Amino acid sequence: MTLLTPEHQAWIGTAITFRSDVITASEARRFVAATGDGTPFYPQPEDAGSDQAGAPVPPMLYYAATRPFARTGDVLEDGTVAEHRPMIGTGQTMGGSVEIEWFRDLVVGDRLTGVRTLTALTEKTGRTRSFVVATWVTDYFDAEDTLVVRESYEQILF
Amino acid sequence: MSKSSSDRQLAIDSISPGDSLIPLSKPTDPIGVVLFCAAIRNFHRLHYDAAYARDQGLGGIIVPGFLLGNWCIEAVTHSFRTPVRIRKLAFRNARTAMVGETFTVRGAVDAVDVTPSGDRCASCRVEVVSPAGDIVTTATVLVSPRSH
Repeated sequence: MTLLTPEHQAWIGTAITFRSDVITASEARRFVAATGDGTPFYPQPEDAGSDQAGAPVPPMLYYAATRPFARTGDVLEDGTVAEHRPMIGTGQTMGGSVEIEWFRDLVVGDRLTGVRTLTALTEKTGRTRSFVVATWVTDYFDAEDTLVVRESYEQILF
Repeated sequence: MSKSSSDRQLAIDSISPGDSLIPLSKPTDPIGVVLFCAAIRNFHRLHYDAAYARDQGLGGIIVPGFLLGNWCIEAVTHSFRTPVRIRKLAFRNARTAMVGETFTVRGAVDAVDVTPSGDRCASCRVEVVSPAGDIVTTATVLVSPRSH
């Protein structure tokens, strides 16, 4: 049974634009506290109260900063948000390989705009089930429209 | 995070391929995983709902993939004596990482290069290993000095 339909294929080339709030030291501290990352030049949980404008933040914060704040009614049964992907199979997803390039440090005060494009849908057969690999390429621009981060992400849909 | 007293920090101006990164030890628990889910606004049930995870054929809740990727970056940044800038990360999760286990993040310098702008860059091979010795995540991390 094929999982991919012409409706799914029509998603290829779809570009989704989204904006982040300004990245704050508080958000960086939350990330550092949650990861246990001991890198000293990131805003540290113990430094609450300092704005630390321009301080470098953990590189992976680009992802956290641009995730949508989904209302509870917009969250799918698996905990993910519906509108950012074609609904294939059961609608469930898992993460695949990720490649990220940072063209400069991400810093406190950045506001990112992401443009995510679905570049491919590839059906595969695993040991227990068929699944589809969606390849998304996302460019993240700063407030001056300069490319800051480029991410290529394989998302497994099944 | 822990490191042994024999672990030697690296200097990007004198590293060579084959130099080892300082291993990290990363224990996991449900609270830490939920904190990370909140920090990245990603609440896939596989990370906090054990019954749901078992229904999906897993042994229990699993560590988020982006946390594994972050560990690979951290393993590199804390291995260098002077601050480095992360330029690239490529990672792939080959197995599920079960919450409750303690993972080792280890690696080595794979290649050293100089960019056209004169930056000395190091490409590091990193892997996250389960207590049973299974490789959960493989990654490549490219870094350069932070001052450039």
